[in-house]
Amino acid sequence: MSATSESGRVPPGRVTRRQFVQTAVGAAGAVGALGFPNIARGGSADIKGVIVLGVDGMDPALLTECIRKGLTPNCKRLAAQGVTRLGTSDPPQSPVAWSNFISGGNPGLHGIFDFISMNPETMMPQLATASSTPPGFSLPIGPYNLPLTGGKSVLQRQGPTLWDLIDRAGIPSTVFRAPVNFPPTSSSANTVSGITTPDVHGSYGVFSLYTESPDEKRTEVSGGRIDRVPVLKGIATCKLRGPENSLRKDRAGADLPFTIEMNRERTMARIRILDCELLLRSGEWSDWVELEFPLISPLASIAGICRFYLKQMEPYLELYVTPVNIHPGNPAMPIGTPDSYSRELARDVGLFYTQGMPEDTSALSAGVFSDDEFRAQATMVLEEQMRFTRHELDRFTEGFLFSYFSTLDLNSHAFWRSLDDQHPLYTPKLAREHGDFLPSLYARIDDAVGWALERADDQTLVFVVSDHGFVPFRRQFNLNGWLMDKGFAEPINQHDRGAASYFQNTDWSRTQAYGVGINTLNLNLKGREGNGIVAAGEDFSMLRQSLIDQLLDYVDEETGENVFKSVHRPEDIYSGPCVEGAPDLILGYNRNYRASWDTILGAYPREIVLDNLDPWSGDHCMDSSFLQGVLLCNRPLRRSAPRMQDLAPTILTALGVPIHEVMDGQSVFTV
Amino acid sequence: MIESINRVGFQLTSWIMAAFERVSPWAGLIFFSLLTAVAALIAYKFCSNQKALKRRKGIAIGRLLEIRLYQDDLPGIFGTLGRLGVATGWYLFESFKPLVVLLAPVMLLLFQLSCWYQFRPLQVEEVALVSIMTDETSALDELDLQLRSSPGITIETEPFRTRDGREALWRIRGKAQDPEGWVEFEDGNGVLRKSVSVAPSGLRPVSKQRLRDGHLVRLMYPMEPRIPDPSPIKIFRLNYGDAALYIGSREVNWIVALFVLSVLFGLILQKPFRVEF
Repeated sequence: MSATSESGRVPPGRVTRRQFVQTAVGAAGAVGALGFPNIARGGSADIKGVIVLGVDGMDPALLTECIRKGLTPNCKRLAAQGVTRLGTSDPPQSPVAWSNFISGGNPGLHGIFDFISMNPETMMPQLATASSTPPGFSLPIGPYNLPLTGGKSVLQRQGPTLWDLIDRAGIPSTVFRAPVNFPPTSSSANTVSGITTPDVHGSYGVFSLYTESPDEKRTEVSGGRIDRVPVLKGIATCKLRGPENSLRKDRAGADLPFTIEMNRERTMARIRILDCELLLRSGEWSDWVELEFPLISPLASIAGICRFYLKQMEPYLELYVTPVNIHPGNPAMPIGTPDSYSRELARDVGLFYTQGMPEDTSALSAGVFSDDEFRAQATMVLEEQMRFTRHELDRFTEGFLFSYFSTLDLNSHAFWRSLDDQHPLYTPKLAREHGDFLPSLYARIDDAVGWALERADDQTLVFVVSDHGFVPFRRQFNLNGWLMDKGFAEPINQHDRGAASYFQNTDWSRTQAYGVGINTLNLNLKGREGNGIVAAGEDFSMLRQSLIDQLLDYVDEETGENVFKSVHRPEDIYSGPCVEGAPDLILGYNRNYRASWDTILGAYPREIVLDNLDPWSGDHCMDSSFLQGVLLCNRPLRRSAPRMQDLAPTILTALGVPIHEVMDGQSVFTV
Repeated sequence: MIESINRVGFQLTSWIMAAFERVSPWAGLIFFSLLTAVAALIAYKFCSNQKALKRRKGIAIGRLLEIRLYQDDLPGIFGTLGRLGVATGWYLFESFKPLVVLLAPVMLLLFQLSCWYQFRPLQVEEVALVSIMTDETSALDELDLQLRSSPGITIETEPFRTRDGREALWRIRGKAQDPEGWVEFEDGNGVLRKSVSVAPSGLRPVSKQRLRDGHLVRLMYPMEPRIPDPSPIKIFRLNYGDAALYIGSREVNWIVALFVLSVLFGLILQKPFRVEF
């Protein structure tokens, strides 16, 4: 009892899991003994269950339009007084916003500021949400290097985890496709990781295309690989790229050979891989195929799953293979808690996409998928997520259930151009053919809302939570190119400055600032960056202020619009133990503008602002004021401007679980 | 002969398995493990020299104890390991006769049980491939490969003839529950039919392939009769998915489970049966 304050909050400090759990469980016990005044805290003592449908990227304006058109009757029921706009994170990126949701605090608490961050030692961009360390000791035997100690993946998200708090209080918790939870936090709640979960290669998803087309010269595209395969006597012999074989000294890929045999009429193909055989016609998808990539055959292997799509057979054979997903029934890396949960789902409901972002926008951007093909694949993903959501809703009785949908987010990225007549890729034909797609997805999500409402009794809260909205992404800004033009960054080779990415053409001894990720800008600070040149203190502050002023003044000459709406210092918008690790500036792009594709990973193109000609035409990595999400609930909300970080305290309070002291959110049922 | 063994064996197994159809798949496996253990005990009782077996076993156990007692004496341990190997060899020698007696019935039992435990029926909406194989390269060209099916099965593709001309495949899909379903075609000598079971997961027998040749191989697929001569088709196959047996959420190989359970039952029952093994 001494560990709890009157409010039921536990003391602040370094959020170690053990301390936190001990304190929270103690507090829960004390609360139970004293009859914690749930209602006084805005909750309701009669609540026994909370269902949250996490709909990434549901846009309030588009939802309002869908309600008006009668496409989303269940959402309409929940939005009788209008769609409630939910304050998103700064920056409004999904990993950041969902971390706000999970931790009940701002990024200064959980330490996730962008998809991508910079490794200050190697000065190479890295995934911001997880890091990994290789095995410590290994035993060399022949071509193998057998590890004696295991490697480790570490989740970079700090702070409390909503479902852990609920679970530790003895309330059952199920989280399907938990955002920003790879590798999963240790918990006895049923969880499967969602967004930020990699494929078996450790990336966010790498598809493969096998083609016999002589015109295809590419071998790698962003998020994909392309293999030219000769067809001899109607048979193409291919290799499905496996994960790097960490047990081999040369770390060669554990590839799997397979064959594509076409019939004489080229109307069908037989695909043989391991002991699996498929028969596909042009335009058909296979079901999930289970694979075993041999590491030391037959002793060690890595399991994966993929699907095959026979794009065409005439005039050239083209076969697409999805990224190889971690097998949920036999995961090579931890993707959930307890281990048995993903296995049970695979057994009871079927195999499923485990990669965090399953809609293959990379294939669309690379021209490997047409719009129709992308729609088909995205629809399969949605139906799969619907099936699992239904499965969990059907067996939900009490406690906490969260199910995440990626569909509106990734499809809005891909098809915003069909709704935005000012987008460079908009055409009336596109609008005619695909303008209905996003509304139809809203309607399908509405079905899941209906299932949740059916399942909910008067003691169950139902929330529909969207982490951000969407705006057009028409123009892209080459931040690093601009920094170089302004003398804040210097190339090693001025003549070739646009060719290299990953900062390979950066002279760090003369570079003061760099942009990495989508919304972040860092100074090359002495003592932090490996070759830092900017001194802390006044130099740092003056340089930072200069950058803020110049960025805010920057005008796109073609449109006359400012490129930036806001540029924040982290100390102005964040609080908590992770603020020191925050980027030096957080960039709020103006509506229609976003960081360019090249600048995100450290390239220096000469053109500073240019049209976005990628099908990825809608975005949310702009200023957060444009990008509020959605909050719908089956009870009236009392808080006028709810934010993502308010949801965790709301849910905890409703379930009678004490709120952690470090959470800065407030229940949406309080004024 | 093979046909008769298959028919009688399958009928017997079916009667027994019918009792467990509505309960856990473990029930049938436990029953047959118990049966195997009893059969093994009887075989040991009547086909082995029980006194010699007991003595050989005692010696082997003694060698094991030696290793434990003299674990600090490395050269001694190596010597004992050698003697343990010899003792184990003698023990196996004494067990040889009952094991030989058991081999055939246990193999037959495994072939029969594989119909229930190795593969599972096709699920509704699940896809599978049906294939026919011949050993003559031109034989399929002369056939009209029109596959027909029972109502619960959809044939999704026309036949896919492989380049070598020896194989043709069709993709089928389970459309509705059809536990006694089938596919068939004219093989030039009449209608050739293959069973296809579309049924929910559970204990149901399925036959992966129907064969024309090979006496011993046909014992492994006892559920369907041999493809009659002079059919040009030597294999009529359906690639059913593997059945799975679980302990909690962990998958367990059914043969391993059968073996472990049989040994356990053997250990439990050796005293009442007064058998040493």
